[in-house]
Amino acid sequence: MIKPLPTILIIPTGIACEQGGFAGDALPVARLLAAASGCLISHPNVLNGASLYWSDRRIHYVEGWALDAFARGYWRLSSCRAQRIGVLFDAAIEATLLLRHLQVLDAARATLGLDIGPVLVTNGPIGVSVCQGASGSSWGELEHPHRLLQAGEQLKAAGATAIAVVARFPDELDSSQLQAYRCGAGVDALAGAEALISHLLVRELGIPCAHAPALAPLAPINELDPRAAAEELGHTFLPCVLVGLSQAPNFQLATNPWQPDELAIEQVGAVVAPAGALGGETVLQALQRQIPVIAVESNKSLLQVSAAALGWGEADHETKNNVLHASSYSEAAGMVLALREGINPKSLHRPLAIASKPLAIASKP
Amino acid sequence: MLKLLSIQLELEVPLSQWRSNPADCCRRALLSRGEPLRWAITATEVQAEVQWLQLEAVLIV
Repeated sequence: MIKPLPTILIIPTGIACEQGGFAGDALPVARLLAAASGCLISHPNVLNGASLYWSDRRIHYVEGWALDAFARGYWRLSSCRAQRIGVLFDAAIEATLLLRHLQVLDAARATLGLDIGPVLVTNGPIGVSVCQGASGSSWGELEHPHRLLQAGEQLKAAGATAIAVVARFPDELDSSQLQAYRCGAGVDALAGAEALISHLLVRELGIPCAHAPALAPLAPINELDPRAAAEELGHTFLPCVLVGLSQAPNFQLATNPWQPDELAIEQVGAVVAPAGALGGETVLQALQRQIPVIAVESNKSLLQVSAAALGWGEADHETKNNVLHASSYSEAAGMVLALREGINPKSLHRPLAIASKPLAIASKP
Repeated sequence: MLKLLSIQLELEVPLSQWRSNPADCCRRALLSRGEPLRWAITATEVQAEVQWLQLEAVLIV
């Protein structure tokens, strides 16, 4: 049995990625990379498919702020048999929609055997709004973040070891933007505000958290893109969050003594990210730490933050650059497998460059 | 009381600094304005002696 090669899969949220920019539509990629690496660390945008999810012991569900903290070497990850999931509801959710969500909690207990509770409603609306940045990517605002944090602290004090948060998002989104998204052509307008909510809770509480938006149901359309379809199967987006959190790793301060079951950034053998979206903290930390970064060209997005734009060229010994280019996720999986087997991925390409000249050794005066 | 602030920021980093510590260069620039909660480079270019960067971020202030 080959030793696993811990690998991070990043697909940034809210930048219209062709794969992973919709409703958990990068899950097949995550499953493939988990098989290739034997240990995959990824974030909710990749793994959440509303009513759909995939549970795999080799896949570690880590919220984005926590993933950045892990990449910075601030936190380590430790495995967890079962989290006790506290559930935090935004007071802005109307009674019927809240009932639908409460029934998801019952279903998760009855059908999946998850440990759910306590449950709490904030002491007033969180006030979520969505907007776009200058780049066109999805961003958002929270009018009352302290209400979110106060409720999160209460849940933690009441015994929750992980928190699923459900916030009411505005229904009156730009209809042309929503239509484009459902037809597979636009940005996920909710993604930016969703990230703020879960980032804030994880930063404050230091436990796994993830978010599901509460929205009024939409009328069905014939042109629905398959990548967005998972969000139209049920009344809520909550099931995948509960499953993801149920065995999510805990966060341990890297200043504490190391325990054998913990995973640290120093053990990570590869980071896989879209070739045009290399400007997030985890990828930059990987560049800084000389961890191989596999840049996937086929996953286009709004951004053109490529290795070339960042001044990072091909991997070679002279410049210590560590970016490997893959045309697709299938090729990226082959590269991860090669790294796991101790094969230099560059040896698989033709033509193969002539071995570089020996490094000059400075002569003594 | 905790407040969140959305910003867009442009900066130029000397190439030697950029190539050894890209993440730290961005984080330091943001920390001078608040604590970064969510951020990313949204445009960038290698120029003569510097790396030009455009960041979008939400800060805790």
